[in-house]
Amino acid sequence: MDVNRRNLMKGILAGGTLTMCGIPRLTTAGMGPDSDTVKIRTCALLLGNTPVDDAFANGVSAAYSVSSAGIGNASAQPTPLEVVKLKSGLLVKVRQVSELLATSRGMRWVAVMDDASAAVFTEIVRTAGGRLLSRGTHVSSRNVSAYSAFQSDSPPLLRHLWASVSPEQSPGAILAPRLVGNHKSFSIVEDFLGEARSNGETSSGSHLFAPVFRSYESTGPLATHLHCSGVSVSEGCGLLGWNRSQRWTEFSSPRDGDEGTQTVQENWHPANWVEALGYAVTLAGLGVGTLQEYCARRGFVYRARQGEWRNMYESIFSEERFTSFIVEV
Amino acid sequence: MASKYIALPKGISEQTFDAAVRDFSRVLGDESVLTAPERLAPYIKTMMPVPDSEHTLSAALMATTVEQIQKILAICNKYKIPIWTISTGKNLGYGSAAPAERGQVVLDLKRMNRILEVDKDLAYALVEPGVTYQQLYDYIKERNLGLWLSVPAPSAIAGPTGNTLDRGVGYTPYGEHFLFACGMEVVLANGDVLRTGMGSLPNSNTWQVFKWGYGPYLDGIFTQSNYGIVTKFGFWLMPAPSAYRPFVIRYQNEEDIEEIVEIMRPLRINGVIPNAVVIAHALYEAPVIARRSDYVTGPGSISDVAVRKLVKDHNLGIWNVYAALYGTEEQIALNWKIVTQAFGKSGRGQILTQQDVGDDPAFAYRAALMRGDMNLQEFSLYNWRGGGGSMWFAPVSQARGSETLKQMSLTKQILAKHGLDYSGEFIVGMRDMHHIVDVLYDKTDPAQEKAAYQCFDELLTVFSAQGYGTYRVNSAFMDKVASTYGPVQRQVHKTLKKALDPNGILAPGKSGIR
Repeated sequence: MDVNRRNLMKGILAGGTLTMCGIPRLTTAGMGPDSDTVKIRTCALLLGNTPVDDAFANGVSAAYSVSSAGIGNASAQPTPLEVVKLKSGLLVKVRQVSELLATSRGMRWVAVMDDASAAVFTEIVRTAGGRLLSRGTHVSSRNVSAYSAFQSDSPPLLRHLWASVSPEQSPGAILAPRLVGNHKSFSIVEDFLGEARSNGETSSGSHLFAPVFRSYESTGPLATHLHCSGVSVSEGCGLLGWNRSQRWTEFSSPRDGDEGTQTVQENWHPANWVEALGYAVTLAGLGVGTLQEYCARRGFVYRARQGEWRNMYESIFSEERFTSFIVEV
Repeated sequence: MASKYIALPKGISEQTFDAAVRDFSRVLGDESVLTAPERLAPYIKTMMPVPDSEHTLSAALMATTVEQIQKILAICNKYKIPIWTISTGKNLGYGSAAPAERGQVVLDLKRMNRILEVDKDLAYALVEPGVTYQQLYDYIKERNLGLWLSVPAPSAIAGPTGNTLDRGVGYTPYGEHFLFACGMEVVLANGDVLRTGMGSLPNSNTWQVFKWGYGPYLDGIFTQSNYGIVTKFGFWLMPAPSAYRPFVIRYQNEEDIEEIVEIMRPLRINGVIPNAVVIAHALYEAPVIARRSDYVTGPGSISDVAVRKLVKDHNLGIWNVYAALYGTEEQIALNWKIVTQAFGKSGRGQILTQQDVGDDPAFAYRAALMRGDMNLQEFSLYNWRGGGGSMWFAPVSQARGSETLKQMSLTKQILAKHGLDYSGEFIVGMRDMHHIVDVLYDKTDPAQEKAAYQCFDELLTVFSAQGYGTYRVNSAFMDKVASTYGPVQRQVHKTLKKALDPNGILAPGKSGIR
């Protein structure tokens, strides 16, 4: 069988100064009576044989190092991250993946694969009685006309769409500031099935994750937060396909001098957006650094500044489309 | 968002639902009543251009016995809780495992997965709804029973009960699955257990060999419907032929499809070619070996020039005709002569066998499906554009060449208007022909998602106006398709529903029936 398992523990063991770094909480975070029956032992990475596997794994490795260093027991060696690579893809190795999940009870998986494999993987997870904490669809296009039209209503070239159990398991707020550092326009939409468990904080007033954004909330039938940079709230709604006539209240604005800069302090810097994504998905999977906003839906829209457009045009995205997962079995 | 549930059934208070969940737990045990969001999340993801929140379930129940199902239905009747039943839930592109309406409780029968009987001599099987094709395939192989399955594209992960009940198809001579169904056990909404056909007769051993029984034939009303929960399902298996010859005929012009169907129809009706013939357009074939982004950037549908280049680059046909011959070597030799003569006359098609194409991945997966092997490569379609959006558009016509180009042209025109590509195939059943189009779009692009919805709606409207009915559709468009078949049929469906399920607890909305 060409399912290749190996251990990976490289990257930045020195960790960093994540603004919201905490102890990994490798237990389930659900709300129902059936949510806490599995105690998660360890974390693993499933690579689905995509062109982005290596970059994604770099981000995963860095995040795993950061989180391991943050455990607080300096003498303890972090458990090596187990990596499984599907050399010929999931569509060919569906039985092996089913068996892998069936024999890895107590494991939290971070996974990346193409969209076709993702459709099947979701089915395998359900059949295995697994827990799906987060599923993200990621698209970068090199549609030049869309780039130039982004000044109006066309969506950004880099888009992320997540369905997550709650903001606690959703990578958007970790990813957004790291993408800002790349000076490329992007959008992130996250839909949550359940709300974050209250820790006594209010949703407003906390913008440590992404101070370049102006943050708005709408308290209609669906509690929604929208974080915009370089676009108005109305433009942001339009770019995400949301109702422009929705009423919004601003609850956080950028600090002076913050706009357009990356302010999260850490030693690791992603080489590209896929690495940043792997990093964010893994931290969310480990329960580290996520922001508990009490909303059912969250969006980020960032438009690169005018002076950066040329740079963006020159380093236009390669065409990538794939899906990421955080699951437990 | 203050509720402990991620959704509630329409018109049901949280207090009432609490009581129902407690009762479900008494029947099934806590571990078989799922309400936690992370356990329900794998049921929700759909590929339709509507918010997943419209198809969010409130709970999932894992039943393992008929008696449990009877008790669950009693609870549903007591509290008026709607329940959406799935067997394996692999209805990809048609709604997957998600219920038709927000808040419905999913009854997941995947743990009812016993293979009850496989008869080698009479070539039939009786299974529970959770049995997968892979499971049955392994069972037959391990026992060397010499029988073949007929499987749909999701093969390994799907199952015969769910696929047949949704009137799905496969690619062997037994590919029209409901045609080979024989005998069901059905739990009705009032808890009664019906065995159809000969199954109602005590001491009968003909339940899986004679379909009709006595009186009105009932099996059909439990397909694409919400009149009962099928808990046992009988169907016929194909004896493994001693020889098998899959082939492909490649044509290089879109107009050639008229000739293809005219040649193919008599070969199908007189049984020379015994399986449903797939005539796949280049864009249906391409995702196995290429990506759209290699040929297109920018908005709009792919151009004909780009399709030509793709065909040339990958040695495809514009049309790729897949069929197979089955039987003894002598039978195949005789029929091969008939087929090659028929298709060789015009000189337009290039007939190729396994030997000719080598390890061509498109041929390999088609050849596997035509002998009932497990293969998921068709889902490479989802990588063509990427972004996770897919809907199958499936109008039915007569198997005539004259029905092809006008359908294709109309479909391409509507898709292009909305910036989408034509990824289509025609399947010549016998006298009928299915036109299967995968409407692929990017769910991360809100404008494209909206366009996909409008496109699909327009396809249904325009095609039904021209007399092309849709044979199967995703759960976002069930009402629309039901309406195209007229008020009398809908009223009959409704009358049956009222009689068999007066509280309307079984899968409200399935096929537009409430």
